[in-house]
Amino acid sequence: MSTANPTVPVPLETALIGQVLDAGWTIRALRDEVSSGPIRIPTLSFLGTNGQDERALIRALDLRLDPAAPDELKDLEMRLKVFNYQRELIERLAGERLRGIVRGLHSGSIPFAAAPLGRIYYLIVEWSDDDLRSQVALHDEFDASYALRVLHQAAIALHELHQRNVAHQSVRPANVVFFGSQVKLGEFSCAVDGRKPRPDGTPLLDWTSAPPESLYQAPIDSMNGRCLIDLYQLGSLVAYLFSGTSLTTQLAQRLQPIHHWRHWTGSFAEALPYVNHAFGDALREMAAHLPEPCRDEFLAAMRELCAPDPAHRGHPHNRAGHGPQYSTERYISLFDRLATRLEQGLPRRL
Amino acid sequence: MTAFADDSTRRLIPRWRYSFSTDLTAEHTGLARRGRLQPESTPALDAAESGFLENPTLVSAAELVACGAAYQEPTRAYEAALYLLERRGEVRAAVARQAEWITGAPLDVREPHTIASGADLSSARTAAEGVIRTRRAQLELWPRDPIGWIDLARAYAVIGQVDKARRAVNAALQLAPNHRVVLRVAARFAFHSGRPDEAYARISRHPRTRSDPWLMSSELALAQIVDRSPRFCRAARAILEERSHAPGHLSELAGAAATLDLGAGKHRRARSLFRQSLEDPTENALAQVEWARKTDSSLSIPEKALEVPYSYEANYWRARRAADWNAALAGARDWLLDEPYSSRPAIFGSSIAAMALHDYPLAEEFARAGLVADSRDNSLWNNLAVALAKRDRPWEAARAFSKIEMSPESSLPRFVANATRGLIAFRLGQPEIGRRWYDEADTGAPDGEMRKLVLLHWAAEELRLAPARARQLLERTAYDEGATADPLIAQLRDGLERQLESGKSDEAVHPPPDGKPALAGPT
Repeated sequence: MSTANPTVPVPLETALIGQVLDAGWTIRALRDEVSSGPIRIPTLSFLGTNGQDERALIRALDLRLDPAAPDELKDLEMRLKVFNYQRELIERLAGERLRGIVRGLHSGSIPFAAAPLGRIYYLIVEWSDDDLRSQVALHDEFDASYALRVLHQAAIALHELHQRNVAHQSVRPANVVFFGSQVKLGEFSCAVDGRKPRPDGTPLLDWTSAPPESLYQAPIDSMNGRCLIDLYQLGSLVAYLFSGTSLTTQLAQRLQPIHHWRHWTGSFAEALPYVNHAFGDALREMAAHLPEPCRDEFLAAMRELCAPDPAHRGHPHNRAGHGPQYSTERYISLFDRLATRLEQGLPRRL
Repeated sequence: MTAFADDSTRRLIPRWRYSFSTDLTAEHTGLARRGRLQPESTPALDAAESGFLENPTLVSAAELVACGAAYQEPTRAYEAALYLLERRGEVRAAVARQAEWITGAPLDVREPHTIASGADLSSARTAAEGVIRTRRAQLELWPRDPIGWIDLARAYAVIGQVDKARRAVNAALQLAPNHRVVLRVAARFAFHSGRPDEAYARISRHPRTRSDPWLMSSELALAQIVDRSPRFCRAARAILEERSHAPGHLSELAGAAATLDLGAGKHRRARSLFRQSLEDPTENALAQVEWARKTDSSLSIPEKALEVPYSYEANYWRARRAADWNAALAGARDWLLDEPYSSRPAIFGSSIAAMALHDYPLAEEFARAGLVADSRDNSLWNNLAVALAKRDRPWEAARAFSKIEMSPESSLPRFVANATRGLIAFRLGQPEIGRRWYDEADTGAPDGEMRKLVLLHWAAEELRLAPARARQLLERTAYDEGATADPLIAQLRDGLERQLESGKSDEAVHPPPDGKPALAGPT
């Protein structure tokens, strides 16, 4: 088997600019993005436009062989399978017309001689200019009621997904995107459709936002477990919105090197006491960053949403067996209520 | 008799440090399992790194710093951290703190309660009070934190609040009933609070003990303390022979098994196991070998093993054997600061200060520091009484001595108590009564070094009043020809002989205080 890349006279990233896709979409420019998520399947992101001058995000599957892969052909096959899985999921969700989810607009493939296999496979989704990272900026002058509106809409988005038996698993600032004042969840490369298993099994989640059970490689083989990952990540957004850092990175700072997931060789159960300890310390620091009028409620929400042990995650009412453990309904109400309280300057207890 | 330190036995019972201690041993790692290693590649970190290099902004710098923390690769995020710190006014406090952490600054939320080597003995108490404050606040926010509870328990144990410590240990056990460290701490605490049977039962009955080398080593050590046959002796030997775990996981188990063999007179097997315990030793296993060298001088310690962090107790044993009393005292001090809930370093420190260095204020300081954690330790009260009597504060000494609970089960041998009574009587100016008590002590002391110590301290008191009697006593402390003298006894003996020859006592003679009631003699 050859280990050399196919010869591409012009880099694919450049060669695709100007290509006309189906449904009137044209690739206009490579998207300049700050990315830190793990690369599940390599894609190229472009800005695209159509005849009505509407913009869209075009993700083209990169099928160039990876010489570092142990088996290049199997790697290629897996990329196609995962891409298809993701495409089918986005199409299913687009058909549901969910208000909190970035909508898939089109998918397909076109012949393109310069590309491996002679075709380009792509996905077109709604374009957004901003994600939570640039919205939040990084400074302290941040409107708490605005943060609550973001959390409220993120919780709604998760509720919509969970109701449709989908776990997102990558709720992180880069994937919380803005359409004016509307917040949506995008990026479904880690998502799992409860109707069928992912071809690549359990995806590797982003280490800056993944929950402890994923970082310590505990087996997660139920939709309940996967939706509980979303719950943790929703809670981690609280930390991000009020401190500028994710809960997971705060845990990483607090764990002794031998207990950090990078070095840990034991089971998740054995690591859990150390993670719980780091979590308690992180909560102690978070308390200083939370807005005073709602501090207790926020702390309670973080305790419930981000409990390091997934068995203890979720609202107590749900954990007691009333509705799914991963339900975000109570947090939708909570974030809405707190936002209203802050916006109206109402006293702490009504 | 003067300060008392029983160093004839040592068991490998678990250490107990705060969770924020650095250089935690393999005990705190999970047992290695196949297929659980994380991938070597760091794709997200790579992407964040190139993102920042191509377009350095606050957002890309914060992303890289977050990845640096998540991947424990601070050096790769260093430039981004500096970028953020140069723009500190534009970033949030927590982001700046994360950047500082990347550059090597400790988190300010980390414990400020670490004690430096050679610190004042009272610093252990101050640190414990700080830990109690922070842990209570943290546990109020997040009570499902067994490590927080055992930190709290340790801090309470350090300041002698045993009931509160017990409640905290129980809370940790409820949350993590199968966790190795929590189980070992619970056993350590039960032993510390005078319940060795409970400590043994907790370890020996736990299902995990049959496969976990750390729990197994505790079972072996505690069985010796409660005078039982270890349940897992055979399993332990099999694990040690198979070497089915990394040497760091077997260090204490090998040391505990070696101690069993040493006690049974199986020196060859003990030596082999002690050698195994030093392949990647904990400081506890290293201390065990240093202690065992008193019995078996052929045991050697590789140079590398001496670099083990926290090896204060080992330093103590090594210096004591070499009669380097200042170094022994420094070792005892650091050991006490490391294990302030344990009375042993306080007992040894006060004994060395009193007997070898005649530094009685320091002996008092050690004894008092030990009594903070365990106000019922008879040996410490005895050593405090000795230090005070030697400082010519016999009435305070008598008050300290009155705290000793004399019962058949007392950990303080009766001959030791009688010798201390003799000392106090001498210092109260009642030598006749003092002699009767010393005589009782002489009669009750076991033959050998203990009796020699009684006689030497009696001689020290007689030196000032009746040198001829002192000489007679001193003659009885001579070693048989060819016998190896204990360095401490040799030092005491040499000192007294010099004083006898010069005709001058190091200590002043004190007349009986007027109007004070006489101390009763032995009946």
